[in-house]
Amino acid sequence: MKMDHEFSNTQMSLNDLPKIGDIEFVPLEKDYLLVIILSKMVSQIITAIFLIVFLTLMPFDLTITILKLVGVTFVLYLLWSYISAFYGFRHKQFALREKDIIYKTGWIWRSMTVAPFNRVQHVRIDQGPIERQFNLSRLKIFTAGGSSSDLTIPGLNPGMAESLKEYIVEQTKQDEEE
Amino acid sequence: MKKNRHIDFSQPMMQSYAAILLIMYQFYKILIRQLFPLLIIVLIQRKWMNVNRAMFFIIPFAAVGAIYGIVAFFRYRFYIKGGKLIVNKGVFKRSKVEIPLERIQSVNFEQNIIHRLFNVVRLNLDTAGSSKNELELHALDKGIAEALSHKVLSFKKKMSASIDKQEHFQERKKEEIFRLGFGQLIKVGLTENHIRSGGIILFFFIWLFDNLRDIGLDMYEKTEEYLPQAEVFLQSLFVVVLLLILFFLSSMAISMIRTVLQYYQLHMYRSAGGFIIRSGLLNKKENAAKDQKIQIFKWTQNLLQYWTGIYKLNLRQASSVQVSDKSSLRVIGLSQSDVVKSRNYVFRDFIDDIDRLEHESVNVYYFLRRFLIWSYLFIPFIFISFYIDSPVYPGYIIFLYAFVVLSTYFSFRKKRYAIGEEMISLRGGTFGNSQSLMAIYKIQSVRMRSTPFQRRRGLATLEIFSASGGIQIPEIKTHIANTIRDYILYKVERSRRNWM
Repeated sequence: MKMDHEFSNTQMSLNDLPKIGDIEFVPLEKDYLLVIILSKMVSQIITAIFLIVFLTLMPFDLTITILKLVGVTFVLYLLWSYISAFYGFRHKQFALREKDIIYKTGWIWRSMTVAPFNRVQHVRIDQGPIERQFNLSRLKIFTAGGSSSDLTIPGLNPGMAESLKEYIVEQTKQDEEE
Repeated sequence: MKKNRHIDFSQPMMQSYAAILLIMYQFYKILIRQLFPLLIIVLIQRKWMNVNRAMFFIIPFAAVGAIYGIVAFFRYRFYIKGGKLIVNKGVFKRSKVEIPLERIQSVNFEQNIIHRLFNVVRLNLDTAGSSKNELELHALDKGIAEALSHKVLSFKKKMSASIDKQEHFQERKKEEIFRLGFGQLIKVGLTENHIRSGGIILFFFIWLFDNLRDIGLDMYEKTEEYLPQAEVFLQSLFVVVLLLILFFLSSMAISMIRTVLQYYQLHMYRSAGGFIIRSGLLNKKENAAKDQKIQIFKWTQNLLQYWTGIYKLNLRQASSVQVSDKSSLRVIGLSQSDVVKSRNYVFRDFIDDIDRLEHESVNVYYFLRRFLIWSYLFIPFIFISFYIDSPVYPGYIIFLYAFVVLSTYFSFRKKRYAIGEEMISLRGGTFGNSQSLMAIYKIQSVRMRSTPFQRRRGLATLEIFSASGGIQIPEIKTHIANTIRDYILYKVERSRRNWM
């Protein structure tokens, strides 16, 4: 392969590179699935209210067909959102390595983001109102790459979030001292 | 100017008196921008065009502006104390801004027409903090400004031990890399993107009409009133062609004016480990880009520029936390050798590596997938337009379909990437060409994405982020993407170089 040829100048062969594939990923706290479902419910209730208001205020007459159509679509949407919440949750995983942190997300559209510690600007712990009920926190890791490349790991228990934060801050400090 | 180098900045100083005018100018500019639709209405409805009445409105505004300018001027003091630049200012609320000198990233000069009349300059101090920490001195005598800039830069030099000797050496001599002559300027104007200029014209009218409607003057309605007459008028092919030519010419004229305003007397120098770029007709601007801060080095060419051998350079710098358009410096009208020359300055440690780069194409699914999506969209339309008496001639839709597919194919053919030992390169373009170059050690984070369609073919998309935006390598084999990602991480995590 051409790729191998291009890398051949480095001191180490490509096979010796530390591979992400070999790493074991950690799932999020189980309670976080409930957080996802609850926050989806909140937005669905709001959507439903808007839908009802919209349908009653519509200028034309509501036929049974329209009502059936809207009802079926809404139920399908509900089903879909819970299925995707469940499978999506199972695909949200993170892994900590010596020099970087990795977060995987997405069931259908998958993505995996890696932030090296020596590029981390700062780390923050957030907790939303629903998360507070379940005693969960989210860890936000900021790089200079801007908002599109920042990394958020939700569904951590606060102790874990705190120790992750400390570890990352420790790593970035070490990097500066060297 | 040398004699001014030893000005005592420890005493609070005021700006040049010209600053009063400039603050007033800014005040009026904002005011006029806010009240623009109202002004147009006043101009259109003649009964308001009464001199006495106009004065009744203009005089108070003018007076407020003048008082604001004078107060702001006399309240403004700046001085350097304890390694910090301190500014006292504020009209309604007094404030004190302190900026440690070592945090000032660059000192930019700017001159508009008023500045040049009084031989003063505007000073922009860019800091490594958020945009709020930026500081602006409206008007300073040229000598004082240069002394201040010198003071800041020499202080920084004393502070940081990391600055190598090369930089000291280059500080003294300024090497010209590129100068845009008048003939070249015309060429640049002619090869600009005229479609965009045409868009600007259209958007201007839409914006104008919308604003006028907001204040009760409906131009859309008026147009509709005249439409029957217009339709007769437009039936003549001659008139349509004439209008099109007129539209094209005015688009070109706008491109030309924009180019001349922005790039008149464009100079690019090499100095003190970075570039200095100077240009502008009415607004003279001088910006500095340090090699350290440049994260992405990108050149582009549209089709016209490709035919005439003109390159446009885009130096994307890491400014503060936010990536703003302002921190991206543009130079236009360069030849290929100018581009190579400046590239070799920015990546002077990796020139060999760049020469060794071998570009690979992305997977053919990049084209096939987009081709399918466009086909699903267009083919039903084409059939429908044949069977139903459609208002749009089917030929047009087929033409549009062919155009879209062809341009997708072109962009697939031009999309190429290369990963070297220290460098990443991404080539692209549809009708024109472009290349982005990035040093691997400046990468901030990496992301891999995949859709179900991509996974079925064993493909993935790799996103690579720098401190001034990212690049995307689409549709490459997953195992290659994995290797590239692992390699980049290995390089970044081992790197001890300062990326900014």
